Amino acid sequence: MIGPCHCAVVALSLYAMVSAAAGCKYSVDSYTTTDAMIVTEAAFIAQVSVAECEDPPSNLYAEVEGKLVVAANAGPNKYQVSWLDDFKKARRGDYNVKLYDEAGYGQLRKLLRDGESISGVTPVHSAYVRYSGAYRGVWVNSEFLAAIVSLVVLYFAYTFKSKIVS
Amino acid sequence: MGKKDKSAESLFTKEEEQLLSDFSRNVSTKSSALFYGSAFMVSALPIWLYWRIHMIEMMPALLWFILVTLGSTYLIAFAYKNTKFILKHKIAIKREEAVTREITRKYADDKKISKKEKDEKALFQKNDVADYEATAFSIFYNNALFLVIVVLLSFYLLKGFSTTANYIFSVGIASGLIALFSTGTQ
Amino acid sequence: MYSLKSFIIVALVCTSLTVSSLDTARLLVSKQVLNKLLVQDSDILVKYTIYNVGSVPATNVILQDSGFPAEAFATVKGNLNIRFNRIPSGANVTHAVVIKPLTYGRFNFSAAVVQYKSSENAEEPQFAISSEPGEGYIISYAEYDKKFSPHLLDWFAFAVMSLPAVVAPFMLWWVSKSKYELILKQKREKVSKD
Repeated sequence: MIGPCHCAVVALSLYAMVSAAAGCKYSVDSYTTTDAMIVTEAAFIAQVSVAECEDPPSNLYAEVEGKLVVAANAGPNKYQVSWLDDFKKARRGDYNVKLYDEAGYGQLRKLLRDGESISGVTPVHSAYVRYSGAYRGVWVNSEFLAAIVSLVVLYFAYTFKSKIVS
Repeated sequence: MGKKDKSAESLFTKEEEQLLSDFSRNVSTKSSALFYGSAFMVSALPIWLYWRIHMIEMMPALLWFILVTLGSTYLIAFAYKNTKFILKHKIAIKREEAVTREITRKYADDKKISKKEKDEKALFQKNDVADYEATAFSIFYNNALFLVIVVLLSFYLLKGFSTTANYIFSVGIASGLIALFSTGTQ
Repeated sequence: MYSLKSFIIVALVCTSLTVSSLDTARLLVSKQVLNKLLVQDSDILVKYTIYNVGSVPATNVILQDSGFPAEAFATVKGNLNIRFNRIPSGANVTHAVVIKPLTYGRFNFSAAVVQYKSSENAEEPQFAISSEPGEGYIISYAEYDKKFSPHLLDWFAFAVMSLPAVVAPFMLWWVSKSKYELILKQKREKVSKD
């Protein structure tokens, strides 16, 4: 029997890039839902942990592909950034998640409001969340494939027999 | 050389017909064992499909598995015999020339052997070759036909049936059909 | 197969409406299960959305979902107890958690509880409960597998087992046939040369 997560490539990507900015070490552990046979939306979940930090940010924010997400506090020095996307719209590949503290977020919002480029604001940390694409089942039904193979075998068997009896 | 062969050929035809007429549908014990063994193996194969893919409950269906497999073994072996019988004649005619040639070549330098002995050897060789080929082809043909019909019935035509009924009818109809087809003249 | 009473965002009841003055925050919380099928050992995606429909920001918003007992569910990723320091008036936040059921059967997806401070000088915390996704049926992995798995390995094994039955006799026939047809061909060539 094939395992529960058989063909569905469940991306469990761990990008623990350690950044030295502000003396805090950030690590990001992420998960995306990819089995479109079971789940209706692609969920991106990034768990952020901060270590060796004298003054961890009280609030953390994230910017992913132009979208601003407020991180939830999930305990001391732990945050969770989550967003959802339609399976049809979600792009396959690595998503750059830029994390900002309160000050950075304020700047970001101001720039976005004024319609200016946000590239000048330095995130406290940035990481990638990998999304391996939705699994929508196999491209061809295996019973159908078996039937096709059967018919090919049948054709050969019959052709050879006709040759013998001719 | 070509001339000699031709005269030999015409000589064989008579003897051959006599020999062939002795062939009955009765097969030797050895070949019968082969037929039943092969028929049993192929009859049991669909159980895998029902167990793994149709996810049949094994225990309640066990008796059906045994009964259907045995019945189907009998019908398939019957089909093997009939198909082999029909094909053997056809193959014998087709192989005649080549077998004669093979024997002639084999004993070309052997002066001690008479032409009559050579003819006899060729006749037996032809019989063996035809028997072998007909047996192999008959097993191939009927096995292929059986499996194809089982797959098509169980996953398409009888899909709506309960799993056990699907098994009984798919295997039953498939083996019945190939037994029926084998009784045709072609 | 299974039914979830509501996937739709249902506006929720705020349990206490004691402070009904205009300058308070008011939160509506929705809890949704974003699944087509609930399958044992497979992802269940739970989405929480908190809307602040009040006129001032809500602070110290604590979301707690104790509706997934540890003996029946494992968390794949995400936290079931989280806090948002501030949700501005008119804004909403979303949170997602992926869990997996360890067993199968009927399960009632209950509501999550949100606790928050409705104004700067509120002393008592305000409570809100989320919408209830309702009852659903978690199918066993075997049942799911039967209906939806392509069974590629099983078909492959079937093909391998069929080989001796089909290909072996075919090859025996083919080798003998080729041998005699070759003899015949050689002879014909010789004859035509002569």
